Amino acid sequence: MAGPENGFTVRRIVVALDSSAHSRAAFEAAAVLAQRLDAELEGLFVEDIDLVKLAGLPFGNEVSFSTGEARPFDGGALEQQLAREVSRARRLVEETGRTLRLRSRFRVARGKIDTEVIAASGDADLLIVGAAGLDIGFGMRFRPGRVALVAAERAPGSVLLLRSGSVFRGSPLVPYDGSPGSERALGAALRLARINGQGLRLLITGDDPEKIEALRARAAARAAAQHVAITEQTETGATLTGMCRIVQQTEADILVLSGDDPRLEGDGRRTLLERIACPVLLVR
Amino acid sequence: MPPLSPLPPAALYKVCDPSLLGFRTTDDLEDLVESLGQARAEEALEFGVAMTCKGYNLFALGPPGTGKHTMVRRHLEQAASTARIPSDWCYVNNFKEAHRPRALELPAGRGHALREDMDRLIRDLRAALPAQFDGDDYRTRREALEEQFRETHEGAFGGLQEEAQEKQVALVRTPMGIALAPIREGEVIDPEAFSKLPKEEQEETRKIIGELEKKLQEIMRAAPKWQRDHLERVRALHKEMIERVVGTMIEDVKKSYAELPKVVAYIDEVRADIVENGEAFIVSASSQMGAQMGGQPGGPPQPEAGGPDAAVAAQRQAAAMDGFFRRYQVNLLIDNAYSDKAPVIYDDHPTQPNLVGRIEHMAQFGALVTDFTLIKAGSLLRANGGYLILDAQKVLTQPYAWEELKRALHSYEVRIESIAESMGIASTISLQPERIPIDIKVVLIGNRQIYYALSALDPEFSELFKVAVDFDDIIDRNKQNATRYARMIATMVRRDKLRPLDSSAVARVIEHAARLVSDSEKLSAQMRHIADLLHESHFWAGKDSAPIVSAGHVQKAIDAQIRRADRIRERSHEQIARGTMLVQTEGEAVGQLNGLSVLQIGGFAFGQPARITARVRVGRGEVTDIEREVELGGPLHSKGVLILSGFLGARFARNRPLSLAASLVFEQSYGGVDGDSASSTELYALLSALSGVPIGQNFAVTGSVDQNGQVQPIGGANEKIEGFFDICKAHGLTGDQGVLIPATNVKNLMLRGDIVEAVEAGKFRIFAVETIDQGIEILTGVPAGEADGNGAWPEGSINALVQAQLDEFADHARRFARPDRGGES
Repeated sequence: MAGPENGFTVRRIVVALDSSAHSRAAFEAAAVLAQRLDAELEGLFVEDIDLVKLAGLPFGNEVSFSTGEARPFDGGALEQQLAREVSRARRLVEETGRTLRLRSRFRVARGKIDTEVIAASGDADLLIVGAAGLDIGFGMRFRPGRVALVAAERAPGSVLLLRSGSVFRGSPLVPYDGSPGSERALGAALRLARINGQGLRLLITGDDPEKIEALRARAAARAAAQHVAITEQTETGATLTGMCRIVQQTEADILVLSGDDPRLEGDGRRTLLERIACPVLLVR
Repeated sequence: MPPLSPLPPAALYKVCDPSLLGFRTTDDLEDLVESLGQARAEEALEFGVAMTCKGYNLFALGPPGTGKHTMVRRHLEQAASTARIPSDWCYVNNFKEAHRPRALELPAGRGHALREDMDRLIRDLRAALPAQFDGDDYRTRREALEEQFRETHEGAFGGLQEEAQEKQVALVRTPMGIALAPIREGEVIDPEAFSKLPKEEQEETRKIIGELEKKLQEIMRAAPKWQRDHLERVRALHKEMIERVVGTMIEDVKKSYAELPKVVAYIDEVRADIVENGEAFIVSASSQMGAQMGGQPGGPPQPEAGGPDAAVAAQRQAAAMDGFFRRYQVNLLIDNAYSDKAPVIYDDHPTQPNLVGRIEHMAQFGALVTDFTLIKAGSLLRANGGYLILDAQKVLTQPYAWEELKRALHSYEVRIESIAESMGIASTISLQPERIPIDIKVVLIGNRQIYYALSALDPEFSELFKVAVDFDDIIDRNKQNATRYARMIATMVRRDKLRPLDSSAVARVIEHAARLVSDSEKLSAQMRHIADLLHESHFWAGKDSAPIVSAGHVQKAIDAQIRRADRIRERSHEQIARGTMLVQTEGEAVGQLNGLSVLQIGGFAFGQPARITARVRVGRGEVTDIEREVELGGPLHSKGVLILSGFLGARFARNRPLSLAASLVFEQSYGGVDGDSASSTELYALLSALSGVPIGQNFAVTGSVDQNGQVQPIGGANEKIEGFFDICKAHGLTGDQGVLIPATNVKNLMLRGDIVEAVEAGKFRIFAVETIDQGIEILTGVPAGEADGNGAWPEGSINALVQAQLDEFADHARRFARPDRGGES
């Protein structure tokens, strides 16, 4: 991992893929990021072992999202379905790689999705997963998705949780209190702002005016070194809820946080993913 | 019969005496406001304009240049100045049926105000509504609704999930839905492990899953309703927020139109539509911002957006939103805000769309689209409440313009649609704008041929154009009209900023006006020619640096006009002068005489002499028209020739067969010949051929003849005389040369000055004859002879010689006749 002075260095990115449209959009965004960071991109498709097991049970039924009707869950059909999805995902990775001239590869694994995704991200600098949640139709969606939550908590490297919109336009918002974690987050945010040709929104948290001034000067120096413009905002002791409100009010394009930010402890990650509509980058 | 004298010089040209006009220059004269010699047309115009009954539209007919446009316009402008200023007309959106835009009538000037009011309203709402939705009030209430919705479905699913977990069952997402699977130690149980479970446990698991499945189904079935209810609540919130803003604003607009129920009803519909579609105002504000920021979405009720094409999508959305707000615009079709009278419209390009209006289209993302804002008024609507002037020929030559005009005048309303639609060949969905009632008077202007053709061929024409405004092309030449003519000239001079004319110039113009109609007792009412002459006289006066135009300048203008046009006359006369075309002006010949024809080329006519010859022999009474035989003679010419047979038979062969075969021809004529003006000439040639008495070739003759030998008037007398005079002059005037014209044509004489001078000097003669006998005496110098009581002609007379020849032919014929054919033996 890159230290605070070196900024945000990413050599390998893993993207978790599934069959949803959201996943495709997330992959395309990841591909653009990989291009700009000059990183290798790996698309990972996990065949859900729970589905395979379910298909083998003598009474497996599925209840349709669209009609609410129950119908037998056919193991043969599942295998065909999985094969089609794998094929689609492979094509997406290959075509995107060719188009953007990326170093890319595609991998299929079978197992529990969260386990496989975490395992695959072991040697990656950045794991990208969709955090849209489970879409069950009729405007209903379970947030956050299980995989996103697990990745946010257990991924060894940085995690980008993609919601809607693009991570590559607009400027990042980064809370900054001078802690090592926030220094890393600032470094990553500066890198993102720089490759996107955008400014940075800096949210300085603290009570002590002198300390705030020092933080401001420090951030300004780092930003100047990276040729990134800064817009500042100061909040006294920003809580997680307060931070979510600021993200919403400022219509931030991406929130960059330290992965070990104390506000994410407990239900923090769940709350963050439930409340915030923009992508979140957890830097480790 | 006493010898006929040639006409005196005074009979050849009726001079206009400048001293009798009573002014020095045209600057001394007042403008002539009324028309000149068009009393009938004036009366018809006044009547037609005043008549308000159906079908009393007008057709102003007459030759070009008679001032039809000017007079019609003057009358209509006068009538329009006292008429009521007509209403404004707008097209607005029909919120129930968008393809049928509604027409709104407003008092003059109010249409403009309505358009401004609606534009301002929408502009204000586009600013105010997003602000309303950006407020804490909205955000709080919207979040509460979202929370409520989330709690509903998450509560239901959460409850099910908890119950399932308690019963060791997990909810598993499948590609198409959700399934329930038994779990052991947090993992979905392996099928093999499941089969090893005790039967009772397997059954119990099946039962539990079955029950949970039913609950899951109930939740999934209830989901659409939860969503519907949620959306309904959100919509109701939006409506409430929008109502709060729109209500006040729109009531302010409505107050201004309280006395116009249709407008009030429209504004109410606008209000309902804005409340219904108010979210568009918010999306619009967001997409505009998005387009500026490169596609980043924002704001409450907006769709999600993203991806590399977001900027393009946002721009498209912004464009679509701008299109959306067009529905609230007012298309002010007819704006009388700045009118102070009823309209008088002249449509100089009356195509069908220009007449009834058109529905334009605009390109949008590669497709052509239209809406009520693209409806354009035609001249029928622009003239609504007033008068529309159209050129008949233009209307008739534009596809479907005439049909559409008649339809509008029949139905008293205008239906704006394309030609393709009105023909029924376009079945694509387009607009069907509400018809607009019209109260209009149409004045068609055209020539007489069009008027008579329409009267004869189009039954609807006489129903719709009941008033004929017939413009005369000639007026009487008398003292009063001469004075008025002078005032008309003065008016034109001032209008066109020309040099003033002195009285001699005006007199010369008046004389020329008589020559234009070939009548010394009439004047031309075709003022266009006179205007041209005034302009050209002004030019020549300018060349002389003369501040005032005199008769000399007018004459120079006339001479120059002739000079510019007479190339063919010059070539033709040159052919005669060089002997290529044989025309004698001296000597004598039997059965040969100079006839006179007129060639009209463009606007210039000139006389052309031609030898007419006759040959006779025994025959069956036929006079052969060689021109007719070779199809170079027209029917009128043939009629004239046949009349000759009638004359000869009646005069010389009443009691015995006319045993004559005669042939007549225009020598060296290679084009067509028509008209009967040479029939007297042909008869003189025949009489000469029959009598054997030569005719003086120093004469040329024109005039038609009837079966009794009466010489009848012809056209082009001036040109014919001038034509022969020019040839004689070229050959050398001898003093005995001249032209015989019908006596009834004397009043038409307005001859050139050089001819009048030649006659005064005794170098040329013009005889006005009434009968063939008068003419033949002049031509041959031999008395024609009058029959005595027994029908016998005086010995040696032309008639006696002709009679003798015909008797001889009859005797020959009888001798040659075969007995079996009934002839005498």
